[in-house]
Amino acid sequence: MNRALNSLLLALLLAALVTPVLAQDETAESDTETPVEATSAEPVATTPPAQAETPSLEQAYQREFAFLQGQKRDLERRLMELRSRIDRERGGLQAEIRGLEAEVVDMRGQADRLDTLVFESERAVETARDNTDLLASTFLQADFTLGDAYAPSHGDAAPGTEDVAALFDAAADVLRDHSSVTRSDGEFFLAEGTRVSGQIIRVGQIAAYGISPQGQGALAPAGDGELKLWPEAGSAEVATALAAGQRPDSLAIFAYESLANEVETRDDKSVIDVIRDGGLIGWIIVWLGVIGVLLIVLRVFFLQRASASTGRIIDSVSAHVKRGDRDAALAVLKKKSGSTSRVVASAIRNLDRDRDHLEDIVSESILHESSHLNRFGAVILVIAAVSPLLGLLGTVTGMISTFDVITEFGTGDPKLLSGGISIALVTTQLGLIVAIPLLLLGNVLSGWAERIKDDMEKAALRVINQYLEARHEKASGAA
Amino acid sequence: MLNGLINDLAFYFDVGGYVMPPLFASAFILWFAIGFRFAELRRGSVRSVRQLISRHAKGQRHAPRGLIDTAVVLGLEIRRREPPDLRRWLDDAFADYESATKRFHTLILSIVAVAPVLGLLGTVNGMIETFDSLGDMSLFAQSGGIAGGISQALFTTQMGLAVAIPGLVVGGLLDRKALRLRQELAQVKDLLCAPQHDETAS
Repeated sequence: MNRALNSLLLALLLAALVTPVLAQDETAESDTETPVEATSAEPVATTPPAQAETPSLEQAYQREFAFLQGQKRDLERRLMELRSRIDRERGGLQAEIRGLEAEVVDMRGQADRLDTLVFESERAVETARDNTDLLASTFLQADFTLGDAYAPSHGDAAPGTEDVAALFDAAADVLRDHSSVTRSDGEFFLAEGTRVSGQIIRVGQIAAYGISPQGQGALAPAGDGELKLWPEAGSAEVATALAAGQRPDSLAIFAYESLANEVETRDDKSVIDVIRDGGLIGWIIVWLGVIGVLLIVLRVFFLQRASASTGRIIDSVSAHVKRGDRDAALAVLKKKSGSTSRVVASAIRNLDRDRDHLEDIVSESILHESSHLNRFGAVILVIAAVSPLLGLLGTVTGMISTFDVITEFGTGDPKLLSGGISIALVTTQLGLIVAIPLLLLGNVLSGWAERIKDDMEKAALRVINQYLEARHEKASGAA
Repeated sequence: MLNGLINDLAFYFDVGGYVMPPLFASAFILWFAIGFRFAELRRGSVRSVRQLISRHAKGQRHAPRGLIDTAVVLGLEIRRREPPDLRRWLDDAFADYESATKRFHTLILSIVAVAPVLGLLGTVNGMIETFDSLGDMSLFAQSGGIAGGISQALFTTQMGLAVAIPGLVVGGLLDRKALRLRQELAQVKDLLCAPQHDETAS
């Protein structure tokens, strides 16, 4: 724009130079006037009458120039104003932004703090709820276990400090109560079932002693909170000592869990009772056992007779045998009893036969004797093997009948189930009691019988050897 | 120490019931028999039977230490007398050794068989005690009770097995040893009855 203005000015000057003659004085005038009159068109307006006749191009330019000059100045001024205003406003706004940013940071920090607070308070609420539950269950438990000694008074409301204190007081009372020996008047049953009144000494909640003119001693639960006299040896002395306020050395006691269920006296069963529990199979086992014992006795008797000492028989015979005096040897043997002497006698009787025949005869007579020696051995072992199986059979039968009863009456009464099983087991017990001695003795007696057979063989062999040696020596001596 | 042991034993007796005395007695007899048999079944020299016979026949003798040693010495002595039927004489003379190898064999076997059954009997007693206690509601009280019964049941089985198992193992080893000794006695007889010149040649 300035450039355009300058070029315009240049063009005007050129035009003025082209016409120097035209207005020598006026150029001087316009030269001095232009800066003054540029702002207004007044000189233009004042001059028209003087120059109306000559509205030259130069004047129009000058007027236009002055006008534009004014315009330019005006615009520059407004530009300056605008620029300064913008600068002012920008500074203000930037300050405002900085202020707002600081505020945001501040707010954010505050929000974080508030979040933490919320979290902490949630946790506190959680803990408080847990504690409330715990407290409630504690009270429930106390109500249940402390029984009559404590009744919660806070209802559905949360328990307060005084409620807790009351609870602990009640619990301490109960503990003191349960750990002390108290005396009171009351009633209990005697062993035969009559109800007597007397003094009852309670050891906490686990045992009691009763003292009455009719009888005294340890008490046991009789069901429904009642007590009955328990036949515990030495408990009567303890009861009287406790009643007299003394402290006995040992405490014959019946410790119980609660008074709700009756405890039954376990009567000592006699052997016959036990066997009767076993039923038919029990009796069969017992009779088998009796038969087995009888057979063992018989077998011991047989073996005892059969087993004369081998050494003694040979000593008594060998002198006669070496002399070849068979009749004397047989006479000596006749006086002795026992399988060995019979085998030796049969060997002596046949001493003249040749060796193979002689050995056949000896082994035959050993076989003959061994039928005696083995008598009942197998039967005893069979009884020993069968009786535990019979016992098992009885147990299974007993179990079946027990479960039959249970299907009929249900499992409400544990007595039914366990009593039935206990009785069912009796036959197994009987079977084992019969089997063990029979097994042991039967085996040992079999071993004895084997040894006797070995002895017989040995004795016969020795007698034959002695006889043959003597004959050999005689023959070699004669030669 | 010894006192504690005695206390333990008394406690075991108490817990196990009437099964315990027979169990202890059978354990005692078993180990006595095993010890006896162990002492009886000593072989003596470690040399083989052939070496033993040739050494003794040459007169290099020392005091016999075990069963085979003594049998060899005795057998050589009998052979020196030259009886008419050597094998029968040896049979006669060695019969004692053979019966020695069999001594207590049956007893050990019987006790090993009986001890677990005794334990089982104790277990059945314990079970009866347990179920009786269940029946009359004396759960934990007095003598026995449920815990007492179960303890007896387990304890006696344990005791029976403790008696039987070592007896079974050691008894089996001894039986094997006895069998080998009997085989060697038979070998001694065979060698002694074999013609003389074979042996002198070896």
